Amino acid sequence: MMAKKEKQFWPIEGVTRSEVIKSQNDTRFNFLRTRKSRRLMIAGLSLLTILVALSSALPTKASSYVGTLGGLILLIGYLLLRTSVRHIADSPDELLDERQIALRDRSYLHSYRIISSVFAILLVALFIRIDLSENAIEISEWWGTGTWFSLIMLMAGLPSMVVAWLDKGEDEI
Amino acid sequence: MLHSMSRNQEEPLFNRIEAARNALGISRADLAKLTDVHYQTIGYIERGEYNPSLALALRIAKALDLEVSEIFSTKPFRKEAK
Repeated sequence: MMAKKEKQFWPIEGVTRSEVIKSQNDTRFNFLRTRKSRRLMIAGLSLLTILVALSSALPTKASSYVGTLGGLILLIGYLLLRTSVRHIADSPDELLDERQIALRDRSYLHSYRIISSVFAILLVALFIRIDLSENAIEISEWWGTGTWFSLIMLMAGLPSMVVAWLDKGEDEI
Repeated sequence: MLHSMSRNQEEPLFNRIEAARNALGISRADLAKLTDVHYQTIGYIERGEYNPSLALALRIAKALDLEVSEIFSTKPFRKEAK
């Protein structure tokens, strides 16, 4: 147990040492830590990510509503999911025990595989657009701010989603 | 799914942590504190869903004042007569 008191771990969606310690001992949000809650959050966040990603394809006004509101819910959902898994995916070794470290590492392996598949699909879509632009679906019709936001949220939240999927609900332990 | 996290999937590891813990009258949370792990991890180990490292197994044994071989085994423990 080293580190400065309020050291921020990870550059983007980091956590502080005190946040992790608090989260590890928290009981207030145990209702979010059941298997059912976790699965519901994963399903909701996945659907919302897709919806926000494709929001630019909607008519202008609807696009802005879906994008903004969906993006906000996505952000809140992501924060709740992190709480649900006690920040395991974002914490460094020194704040986790050996099972949690193994779980976190496994979640990054799966996340990498999922993210690379998503990017492979997007690259293929871009390739089709470049090479067959005459007949292909025009990517610019649906690629917008919502798509960027969804991709960023996916990269930030996927490890926690995988942890929530792999870890049993705490009600079953 | 979490079974796939075990260090040795082929050979299950049996334990009698719960019985030893109950004999001493300590909770999972107490044992977790004594062994410096999260209480959920103790639950996973008790249920045989996570095989601890040797270091953790030794810490658990020490906390329960027993030998590692008295708590962990590759063969099921005989049920103790009540």
